[in-house]
Formats: sequence, C-alpha cells, structure tokens
Amino acid sequence: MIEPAPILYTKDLAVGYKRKKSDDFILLNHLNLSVEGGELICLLGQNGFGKSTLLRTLTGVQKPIKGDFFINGKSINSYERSQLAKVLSIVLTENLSIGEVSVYSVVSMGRYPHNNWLGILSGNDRKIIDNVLEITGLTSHKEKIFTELSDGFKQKVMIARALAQDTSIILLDEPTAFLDIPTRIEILSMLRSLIKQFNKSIIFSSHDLDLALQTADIIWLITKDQKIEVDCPEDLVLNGHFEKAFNKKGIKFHPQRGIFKMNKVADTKIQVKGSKIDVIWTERALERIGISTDGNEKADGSIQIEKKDGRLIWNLDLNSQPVLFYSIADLIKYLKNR
Amino acid sequence: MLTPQRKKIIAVFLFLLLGLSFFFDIILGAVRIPLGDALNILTGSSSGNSVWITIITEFRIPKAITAILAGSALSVSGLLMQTFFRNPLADPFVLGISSGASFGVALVILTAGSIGINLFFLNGLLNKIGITIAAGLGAAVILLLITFVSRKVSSNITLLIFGLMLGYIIGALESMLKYFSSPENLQGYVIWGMGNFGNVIWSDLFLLIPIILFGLVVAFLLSKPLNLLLLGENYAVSMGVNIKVIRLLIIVAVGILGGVITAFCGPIAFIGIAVPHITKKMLNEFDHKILIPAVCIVGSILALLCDIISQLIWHEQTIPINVVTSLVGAPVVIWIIIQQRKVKHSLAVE
Repeated sequence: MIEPAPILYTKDLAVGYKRKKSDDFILLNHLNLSVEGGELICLLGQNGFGKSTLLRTLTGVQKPIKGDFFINGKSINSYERSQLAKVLSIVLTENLSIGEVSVYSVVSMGRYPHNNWLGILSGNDRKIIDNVLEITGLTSHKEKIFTELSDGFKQKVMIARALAQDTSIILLDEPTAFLDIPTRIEILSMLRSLIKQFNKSIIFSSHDLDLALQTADIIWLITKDQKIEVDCPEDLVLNGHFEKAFNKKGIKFHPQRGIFKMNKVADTKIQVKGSKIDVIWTERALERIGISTDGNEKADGSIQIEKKDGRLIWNLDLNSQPVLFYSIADLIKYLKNR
Repeated sequence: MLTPQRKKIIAVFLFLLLGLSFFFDIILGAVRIPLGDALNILTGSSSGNSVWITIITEFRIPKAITAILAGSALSVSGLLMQTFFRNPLADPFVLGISSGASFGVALVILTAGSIGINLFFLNGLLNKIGITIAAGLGAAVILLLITFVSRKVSSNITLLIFGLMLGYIIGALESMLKYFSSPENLQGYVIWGMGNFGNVIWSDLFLLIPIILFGLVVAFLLSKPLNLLLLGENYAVSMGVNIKVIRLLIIVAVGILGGVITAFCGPIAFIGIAVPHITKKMLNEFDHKILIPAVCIVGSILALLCDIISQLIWHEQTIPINVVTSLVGAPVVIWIIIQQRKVKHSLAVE
C-alpha cells in the first residue's frame, strides 16, 4: 500500500518571534508534523507554550523562524494570499461586532475567495451556502443578525463560513473557549461529523483536556522541551506524556479518569464501599475536601453506603465513632468541622 | 432585513430627493430670483436679467455640483475609515489628512504678505490654485507619513491614535501661525475654515470632477475586501485579502477624497462621520458595493440640504456651511455614542 501524501507537513519548523537586537525567541523547534486527510487533530499544551503561535504560523500570518511547511506539496512561501484562502480557512475566538449583518451574509463571505471581484454569489455559491447552513443546523437562523446571537451560535456561524470557503484544512483557535459545556460538546461533535462527511483535516487548539481526549483522532501535545508529541490520545495517556506535559505543583493527572485533579496532601484516608456510582460521587466529594480515598492503603476509617426504604444512607466509621448521614452534603459538613 | 422591493422604493425616493435638493439649491439663495425666471434660465430660454443668469450659471450650478462632489467624497471616505478601523467614530479627518490640508492652507493664508510668499497672490487677492496646491501638499505630506507608519505598525488602533496625535501636533502649529498672523489674514483663514461650496467655479470643476470620480472608483473597486474587513483583519487575510495593498489603496482613496475637498471647500465637519451611519440604518445593508453608491447619494442630499439651509436661515445672508453641517451631524454622533453597547463592542481592543 502506498502512503497517502500528507495535505500539510512541516519540515524542521521553528515558531516564535523574530527579534532584531537579541536572539529570536523560539517557542517550538524542530517540528516535523504531518496532516493527512480526514483527521481531527487537537493541539494541546499549557498556556504560553506556543499553541497560538503555531496556529498563527500555520495560517501564514506569522513567518516561521526556521524551516518551512508545505500544503498540498507546495511551500507556504510560494502561496499567494488568494491561493492560500482556497486551501486553508480559519476560525478565531475574536468577539466580532459587525453591525447589522445577517448569518447568511457572514457565511456567504466564505465564498469570496472563489467568486469575482465584486463578490457576487453564483447559483453554485448559493447551493454551497445552503448546504453548509443545513449541515451546521443554521438554516432556521440564516436571517438573524449575527451580532445578536449567543457565543455558541456565533462560533457555529464562523465554522459554517469556514466550510463555505471549501478548503481542505480548517484551523480553529480555541473553538470551545467561552462556551458552556453542552455547547462545547455540540461544537466538537459537529467538527467530528464534518471530518466524516467531507474528509477535511481539522486542527483545533484547546484547553479542554477531557473533551479533547474524547473527540480528537490525534493529539499534538506540546511538551516542556519545545517539542510536540504526536499520538492518538489514549497512547499519550498510557505512555505518560500527558502527565509529563501538564503536571504542575498541586495538580495531578488522573490516568484512570483522564482528568486533572487538585493534588492536595491528604491527612486522612477513608475507604468507601457501596454500589459503584454511589462510591464514585462520594469519593469525588471527599477528594475535594482533601481526604484520600485510595482503597489499598491503611485507612483511618470507612464509609458504607446503603439503600434503605429508597433512601441512601452513609455510615461513617471514623476513629471507631459510627455516625449516620442522609446526604453527601451533611457528610462533608461533618468531616470538615471535625 | 429589508426586502428587495423596499430597497427599490428607498432608492427611487433617494434619487427623487437628490433631484429636488439639487433643483432647490439652484433656485433658492440669498438673491431672490422668481421661480419662473429661474426655470427659464435653467432651460436656456430666457434672455432676461443678465445678473440673474450669471448668478445661476456661474455661481449656483457649480456650487450645487460642488456640494454633490463634497457630500459624496466625504461620505465615502468616512465609510472607508469606519470599516477599515472598525470604529464607528472614525472619519476621514481622524487620520490627520484634513489637518494636513488645513495646515497647508494656513501657511498660505496666514503668512500672506509677511514673508514674501506673494507667489500665490494676484493683486493682493488669494489665488485658489495656490490654496489648492498648498492643501494638496499638506494632505500629501501627512498621507505619506501615515502610509509609512502603516507599514510599520500592524494594529489599526495604533494607526488611528497616531493620526489623532498628528492632528493635535498640526493643530498646535496652526495655532502658532494664527497667533502671529495679521488680523486680516486671520479673518480670511477663519472664513475658509467655516467651509463653503461656493468658492468653486467652472474651471475648478474640470479639475475637481475627475479627481473625485477617480477616488470614488478606487473606493468602489475595494468593495469586496472592505466587506471582508468587517470580520477583522485576521479573517480578511485568511480569505485572501492582501492587507498591505488594500490598506494602501484605502489610504490613497481617503487622502484624495478628503484632501482635495478640504482644499476647495474648507474642512467640512460631520458629513463624513454622519452619512455612513444614516445610510446603514436606512438600508440595513453592510455590502460595500451597495453602500458606496448609497452613501454618495445620501451624502450629496445632505450636503445640498445643508447648503440650502445655510442660504435660507438668515435673511439675505449665507451662513457658513460648517455651522449647518455641525448642527445636523453632531446629533448623529451623539446618537452613535448613546448606542453605548455597540460602540463599546466596536471599540473593544482584541
């Protein structure tokens, strides 16, 4: 089998800021990344490690410090702006206030790289726009004024516009920032379905670890030594790269759950027993107030959760003093004030 | 969203209003000419009062045409600035282009006779070509400066602030000139500064019309990138806009339109800032290929109406055009500021 040619690849790319007087400020170095068709790639990394800089460089706004990258086999340096607009589109987090412009009009701007000097929409353009509005679930909103929409809808409109631009690569800078959790999930699953439908390559940066782990095919993980680890999310968890990239004082990656937890020094250990779901949520509450629940170690006490007459009861046995609670709230209050 | 039907009705209404205000600007004036005679003169069928013929053909018609040119030019440059800076309060003069033009004029008028710059004077009277050249040079110098700085700074906000500060510096120099100039020269300058469409004669128009048309055509050719700039520079660039070229062209268009009108008519206040807002509100439109012709029409109507008012408000006296445009335009600016929410959003630094 022949390897498919990558849509985008970087060759010993270094990104950062050029400086006149001192040495260039390099954020990421020796990058050899490649993007194939139909991948949802999430760029993850701590703040200030070069996420935005890399994205800006890949959009061609910022010049690479060293190295080069190629889209469809052609170096970025040999692209005219107007040509690049046909292969690469972007979605930013800027809060746009653009006056009385309808959703349809914003999406139709995506066709500008393809139409004539006055930007007049052809029948084909209109067909593409209608289709894009349908896919993104915006058809019923197309007459609405963009500025008056919620953040989530605005983000969808900008994604729809990028789709109308009909490029093989879409770059999104923090597409889920400032959104509530259900909308985040909605946006990311929308991106997933786009990959499937159009065989596009989508690269998005994110802070949202657990969502990124759930949705991305591939994660570009910025490590602490100016490099990027590329792997499928699960591999990155298992080989410990994830933990290395993010661990900070007071925060610890929890590989079982794929989330980060506050790493408080526990002074008490309590073992929780009962049905699985009850145990999980009770443990979460205990961990929040700094009580360890690691079962294997020698515990200072135990909690037995039972169901009696359709009610949950927490039987706490701490320092051989049995106490009974009817809610987690009461239990926590007691443990805090003890 | 307005239906195409309603947009057509508005367009017809605007053209009618334009025709009417053009007509009344010629008919009405400090010198009362009976309607019948005025119509006869306009249709060329009268051999009546030769003073009236001269007033209408040599003074009022060029003045009305100048009002249309000035209204269009100032409104279009205001629109370009507002889109380019994504700032509802930007207008051509924020960039300091009119300050530059004014300073050129100030140099000519205020130093007249004092240090031997009699080159521009004919029999002690101000020569218009002298003022135009001085204003044009003033605008050009500022334009070059702005263009140079615009290549260095990437942020529009920075450029805007630079333009504002430049305006202050020039204003200070201008004040100094005023302070040291003779009372007669100062009076001449103050009168020019109040604005007037009536200083333009036919021979000036042969120069003015092609220059303004050129500026308007350049602006119209920029419709598509201007639309994209509504989404901000980053998005515009990502959709294929060569920002450096477009920025230069916008500055050139604004410089031509704003600078030349200032030279011929004085710095006309508020039309550049008010008309784009009125037009956008009226048409509910964002597309520059429609907005640019539309602001030309609305700007022309407003300039003509202001000119008519300036003739009529004071018995047998023409009051300065800037008095009228300010009285009409300033409330519009206040209205924009009162719409706080939108202003705040548009001014938000990203």
